[in-house]
Amino acid sequence: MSENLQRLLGDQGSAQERFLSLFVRSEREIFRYVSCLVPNTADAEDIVQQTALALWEKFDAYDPAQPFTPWACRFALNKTRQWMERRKRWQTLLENGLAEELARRREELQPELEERLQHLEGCLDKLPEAHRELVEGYYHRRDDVERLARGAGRSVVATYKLLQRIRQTLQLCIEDAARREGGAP
Amino acid sequence: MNFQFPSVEFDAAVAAVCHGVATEEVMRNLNVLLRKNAAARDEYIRRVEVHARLASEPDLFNSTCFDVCAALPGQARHCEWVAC
Repeated sequence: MSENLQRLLGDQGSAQERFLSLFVRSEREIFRYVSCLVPNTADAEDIVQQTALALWEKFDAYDPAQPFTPWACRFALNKTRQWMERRKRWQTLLENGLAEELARRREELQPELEERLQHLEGCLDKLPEAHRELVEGYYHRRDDVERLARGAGRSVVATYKLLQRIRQTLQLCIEDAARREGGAP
Repeated sequence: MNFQFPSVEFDAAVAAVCHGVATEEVMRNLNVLLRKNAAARDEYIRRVEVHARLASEPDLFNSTCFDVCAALPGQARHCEWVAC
């Protein structure tokens, strides 16, 4: 192996390390940014993966003096648009400028969201054990809904309904906690 | 049918979108509502954010610290220790 090639590979390795380090730290925020547009978890993760590849391909153009996450989220919005073009249902939800409006408004609401959601863990702890177990199965262990429904002796529809009610309970708890702290209207 | 906000139809539509089971008709009605109603848009963002946090914060379910990892296809995984 020539010295130049070794140096080149060495540089790439270092760039890859730098990229992955930045990406790992931003990945959750990129996922939440994409989720605001495409909330279904599996679809959002798919878009984040495609975003990671696009970011790596353009990593040479990244200015390290600038924050990585906003730069990455611009790529994520483009990848979401491309992903939508192949999925008519999601296009129906996000068309006529709604995708861009949601992304813009989420950025404005970001400080409020951060403040409120610091109460999420405490609110999770207040859930009845069976409800917490369902949330943990669905979101953390990523169990299949059919399996969760079977395990609890419920129908799939009833399981989705219960997840919806639990999220509403969590949201009310978060709002209440934020209000008590005087942070939210 | 057009959704109102607030309404049980709005609640069910947001949940269906989060679960990936919303029909095209539901998505169309939600698009119309979210484009014309700023309060519904804000509430949609808040609800989806709770859903996304639950899906993206494994430390909500663990009291211990953990690794987060990422990898590009065909390349080694890169993991970093995340403080609790």
